[in-house]
Amino acid sequence: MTLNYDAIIGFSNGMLKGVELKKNKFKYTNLLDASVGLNTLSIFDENKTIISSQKKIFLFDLQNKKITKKYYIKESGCISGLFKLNDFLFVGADNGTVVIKPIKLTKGLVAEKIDVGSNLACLRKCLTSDKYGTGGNENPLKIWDVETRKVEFTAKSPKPDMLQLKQPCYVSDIRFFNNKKVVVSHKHGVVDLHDPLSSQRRPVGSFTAEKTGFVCMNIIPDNSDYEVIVGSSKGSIFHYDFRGKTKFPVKTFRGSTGSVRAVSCINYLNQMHIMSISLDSHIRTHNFNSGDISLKDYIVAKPMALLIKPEENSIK
Amino acid sequence: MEIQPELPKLARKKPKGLLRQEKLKDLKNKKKIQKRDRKLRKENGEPKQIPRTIENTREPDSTVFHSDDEDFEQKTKDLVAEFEHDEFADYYSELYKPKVMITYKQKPLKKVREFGKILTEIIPNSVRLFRREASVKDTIQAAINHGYTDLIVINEDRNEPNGLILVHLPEGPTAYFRLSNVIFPNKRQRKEFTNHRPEVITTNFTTGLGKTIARMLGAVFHQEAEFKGRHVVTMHNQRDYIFFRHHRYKFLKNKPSLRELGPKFTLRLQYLQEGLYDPKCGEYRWIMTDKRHKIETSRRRFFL
Repeated sequence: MTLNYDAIIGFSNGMLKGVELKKNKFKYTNLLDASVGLNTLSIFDENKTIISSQKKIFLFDLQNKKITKKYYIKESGCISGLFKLNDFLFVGADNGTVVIKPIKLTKGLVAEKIDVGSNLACLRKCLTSDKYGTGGNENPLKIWDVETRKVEFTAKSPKPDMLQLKQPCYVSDIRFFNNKKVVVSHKHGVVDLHDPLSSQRRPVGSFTAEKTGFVCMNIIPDNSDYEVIVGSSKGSIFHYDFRGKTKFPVKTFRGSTGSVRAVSCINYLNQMHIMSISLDSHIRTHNFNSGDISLKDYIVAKPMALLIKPEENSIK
Repeated sequence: MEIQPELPKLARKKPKGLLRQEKLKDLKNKKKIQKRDRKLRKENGEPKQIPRTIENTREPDSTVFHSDDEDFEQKTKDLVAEFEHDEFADYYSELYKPKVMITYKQKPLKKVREFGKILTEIIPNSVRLFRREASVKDTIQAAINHGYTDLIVINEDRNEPNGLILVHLPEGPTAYFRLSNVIFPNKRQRKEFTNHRPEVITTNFTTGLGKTIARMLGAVFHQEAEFKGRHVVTMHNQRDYIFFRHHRYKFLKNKPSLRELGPKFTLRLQYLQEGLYDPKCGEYRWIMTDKRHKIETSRRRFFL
C-alpha cells in the first residue's frame, strides 16, 4: 500500500475505512459506503485490496476508491478466507472446498477445486514459502503445497483426556513462523505449536486458557520465532512465549469488553504497539512494553477485518 | 487550706443517647438553614438549583453522542448505516412479522409455567412449549426450521424465575438477562387482559450497547399495535436495570390515566453474544460474567 493509511478496517455492513495514526488521535477516511456484508480483507498488490462478501470477491482500488473487478464462486457456503498468490486467487468456502481461481479470465484456465475437509474456518498463506494452512470445526490443521496441491502435513486431533473422552477441535486462526513452525489457535482456548518437519503430529508446545476462547492471533514481527499474541472471545489479548515452562501468558492487554476480532503489531511514535479491533465497536492501541492503552476510539459500526500496512509490520 | 494541683480535665465519653441527640440537632439546624436559603433565593427570583443525582453525574461514555463532538455528523451517519444493515433491519423495515417461541428449563415448576403463560398473553403471535430433554442448541435449530424469529428461554431457581435468554433467529445475537422481582398480576388485573396487540415503548437507552438491546427487545413484539386495546408495554432503563411494565391507559377529560396490569419484573443484562447461543466457542459483544469487578470500577458508570 503506497497510500498514507496505516491500517484499513472492514466493517460487517460493508463499510471500509482507512486509518491514520496521528499524535493522540486516529484520523479516518471513508473508502467505501455500506452495502452488502463484508467477510474478509486481504492484500492484492501495492494499491489494491481484495474484499470478500458471502459469495462475491471484489478487487478494490484504494487510490481511486473504486471496485475494479468482480468474481463469484459457485459453492454452497460463504467465504471464510482468501489470499492471492502469483496469478491465482485461493478462496476457501465454508463447506470445505478451496477454489483456485485465475485472476485473468482466459479461456484455457478453469477454476480448480480442492476438498480440505468440512466446516472450514480459516485459510492462511505462509509468508516465506509457497504453502498454506487450513482448519476448522472438527477439522485439524492441514498444510498444503501450492505447486503440487497435496497435503504436506496433517495434525492429529487432540489427545483424549484422562477419562478417554474426546476433546473438541475448532481451529480459529493459523500463523506461520520463519523457522517453518506453525501456530494454531482454537476457539475453546488452546494455542498449539506444531512442527511439520518433525515426525510428531501432535503439538510440540501448547497453552490453555480457562473460560475463554481464542478468536484471532498474530506473530510478533521482531524475528523471534516463539512469541505470539492472541485475542480472546471475552476481550483480553494474551502474549504467549513458547520458550520456557510456564503455563501462563507473559503479559495480558486488557481494556476491551467485547471479543477481539483482529490483532496486529504496529509502529507508533517509534515504539511497538498492538492494534486491535473488537466487537464492542472500538479500536485500541496498547503499548507493548508497558501494557497500557495508548489510544482508543469508538468506530460506531461492528468491525470484521483489519489490514496493516505491510512495510510498517517489521520493526527492528 | 492547701492548694491542690489542678487535675487535667477528663475527656469524658458522652453517652450514646446524647450523641445521637446532638447529631439530630445539627441536622435540624442544617435543614433550617437550607430552607431559609431556599426561601431567600425564591424571593430574589434566582433559578432553582439542580439536585446532584447518580444519573446526572454519571461517567461520560464514549459511545454516547453529543452534538458538540468533533465528528458528530460522521458518527450519526455511520450509526444510521449500521442500523440499516444489522440483524434487526428486516424487522424495522417491516419485511416480516415476528413469531416467538417461549420455553423453560427442562422440568419447569408451577410458578415459571405461570410466568410463561402470562408472557404469551402479552407477546402477540407467541407459542409456549416444553422443551423436555432437548438442549437449548437443539431447540434453536428446531425453532429456525419452524420459522420462528425469536426464542425466549426462562430459567428458575427454587420455584422463582431468575434468568432469561433471548435469541434472535436465525442469525443471532443472543442476550442473557438476570431476571428479578417478578410480581404476578392479581385476579382483578388478569380479568382485564385482552388479545389486542400492545404498543411498545423502550426508553432511556443511550449508549451503543443500549440501543442494540432496545432494538432487540422491541423486535419481539409485533410492529403494528392495536390501539383499540389501549395496552402499552414499557421497558424503561434506569441505572442498567430494565424495568418491564404493562399498563392500560385511558384519556379522561383533561389528563390521561394509567392502570397497572402486570406482570412487573426487572431485567439486568449479563452478556450479549454474537451469533446463536454458544457458551463455549461463542464471541461476546459485551460480557460481565467473570469480570464484574474489572468492569464495574465506579458507582457512576453505566453501560446501557
